[in-house]
Amino acid sequence: MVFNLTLNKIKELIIDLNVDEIKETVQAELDAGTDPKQILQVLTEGMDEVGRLYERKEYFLTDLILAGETMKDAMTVLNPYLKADEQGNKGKIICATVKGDNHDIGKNILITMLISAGYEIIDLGTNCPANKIIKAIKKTKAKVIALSCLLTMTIEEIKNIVDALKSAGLRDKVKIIVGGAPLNMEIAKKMGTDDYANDAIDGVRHINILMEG
Amino acid sequence: MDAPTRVLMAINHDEPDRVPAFESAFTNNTIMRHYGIKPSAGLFAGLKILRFIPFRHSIMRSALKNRKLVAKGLKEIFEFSRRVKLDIGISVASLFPRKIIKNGFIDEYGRIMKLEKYSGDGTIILGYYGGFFKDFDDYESWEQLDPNDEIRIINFLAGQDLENEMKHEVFNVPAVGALMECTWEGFGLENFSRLLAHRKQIKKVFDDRGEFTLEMVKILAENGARLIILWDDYGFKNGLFMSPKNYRQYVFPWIKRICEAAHKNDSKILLHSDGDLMQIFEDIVSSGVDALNPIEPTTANPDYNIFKLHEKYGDKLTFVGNISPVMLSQGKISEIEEYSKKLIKVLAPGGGYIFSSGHSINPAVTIDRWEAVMRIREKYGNYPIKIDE
Repeated sequence: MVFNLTLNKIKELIIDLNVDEIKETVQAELDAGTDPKQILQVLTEGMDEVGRLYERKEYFLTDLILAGETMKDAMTVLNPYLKADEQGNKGKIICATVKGDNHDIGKNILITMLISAGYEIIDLGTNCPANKIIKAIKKTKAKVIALSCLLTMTIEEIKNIVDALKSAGLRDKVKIIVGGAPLNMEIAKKMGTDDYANDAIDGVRHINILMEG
Repeated sequence: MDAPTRVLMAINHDEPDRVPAFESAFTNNTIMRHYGIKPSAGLFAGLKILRFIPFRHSIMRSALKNRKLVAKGLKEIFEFSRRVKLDIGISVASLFPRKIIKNGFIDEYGRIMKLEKYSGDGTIILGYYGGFFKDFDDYESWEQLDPNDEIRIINFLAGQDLENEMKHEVFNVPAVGALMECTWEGFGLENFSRLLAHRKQIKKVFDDRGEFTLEMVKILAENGARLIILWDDYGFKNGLFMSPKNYRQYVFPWIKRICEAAHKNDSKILLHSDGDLMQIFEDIVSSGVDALNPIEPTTANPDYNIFKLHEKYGDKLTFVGNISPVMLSQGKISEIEEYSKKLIKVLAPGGGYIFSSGHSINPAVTIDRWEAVMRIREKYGNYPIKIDE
């Protein structure tokens, strides 16, 4: 009973955005002999709840980010106890902000949510040229590329990436999803991508579907 | 009619001679060249040279204290504004570089800013590259902003010199960083979000920013600024950065005091905030903000609609903006014309509207689309507004 209560506390720390207590609580739970996979499970449940609160507009961007920071702190303690195949076992996703754009807030939130959802992330950072993405696909065999674009003037770069993938014979091997301030589904399709997500929570949901397809 | 009269009449909900026009940022070399302005490398070149010079920070401060030199730096954008009939030219009272770094600087709010050349037409863009402060202790060890630092008022006065030189065809309006945007950007969003969990610390930071902005607005208004811009993004495409409760606790009490101080000195406040502000719109209005820019049309919230907002708040607030930057870079000329016409037709009668894009004019905006907007303003923007169905 005590065991369940403490696990529940870990979930609540994520939901309550308690970044100050998460590390020691996770460590205490590990020291008590709890299966690391069970701890990962409650952390993920906590993040799912944060996502729901965000979608209901009860939580805001800084809450979502603080939940991500709390999760990251928890994972620094938990990761050494997890086997390699228990980390990111749902598949590989390439994430990048397009060339000419240095904004990474949206991309980084998506990455935190995807890690929490069980994906392995290849983060190519910001200002990312098409050839870097092609190299990463060849190396990792990732099935989904998530592109972020905040600046209106970099929208066309999405099309450049799509064209480069076609030229490299890789377009039909990957699904491309995009997100960012100037985008919508219409522009996403016009640029030749497969999907668009309105925010990070929506992004995880769409990527889950793309990975199944 | 001169530009200050035109803008202030619109903000007072009177009808001037024509609908005023404004852009919060104009970074597009192609359009500037089209109107005969040769954009200089300005700050970009200056910082590149300064980085390798001893006593660079003293040299930089000396330059910022030189009213003639500052006026020379502002002249390009003021002259461009005059040529395309934008009524407002912006001088700045904060956001100055504090420390020069490779390709940029750390500004006085702790924001790491870098200058980049847009590959298309060489437009120089000042981009945000993260926060310098890792935590509250870092922030506390930073020398705080002094509203009485003479570089601030000199920049405004240099703008006044230009306004006089241009016979008031351009209205010199000082801009000051306010509470939210400069605060989170100084830390970066991750560190800022962590700081929000510590009530005493975050209150201290917001109060520092509020105190500075309030004093700065008082000084500017006492020195003759009749309109002051507050740079303060509260939201983004999908909503607010932080909860309405936090805004009400930390930000709006200061905005209210700032607006009161401006009004006491016969000055007005134009708030620039991107994003979907629906959940705090009432707070913005009741704080006493006179004009709001840019009412972004590309948010994910269909209710954040300038026409709906105007129906509810049109008598209390001047709306500044709303022509989609995406439309201006990718849209059909006919849809740009129709939308611009609709803005004038619905919002401009009786004053209370300033024509502007719904974000900024960035390098992706094309000349033909920009000219379409200006053409509509020229054709239909004269009072009394007469646009047939």
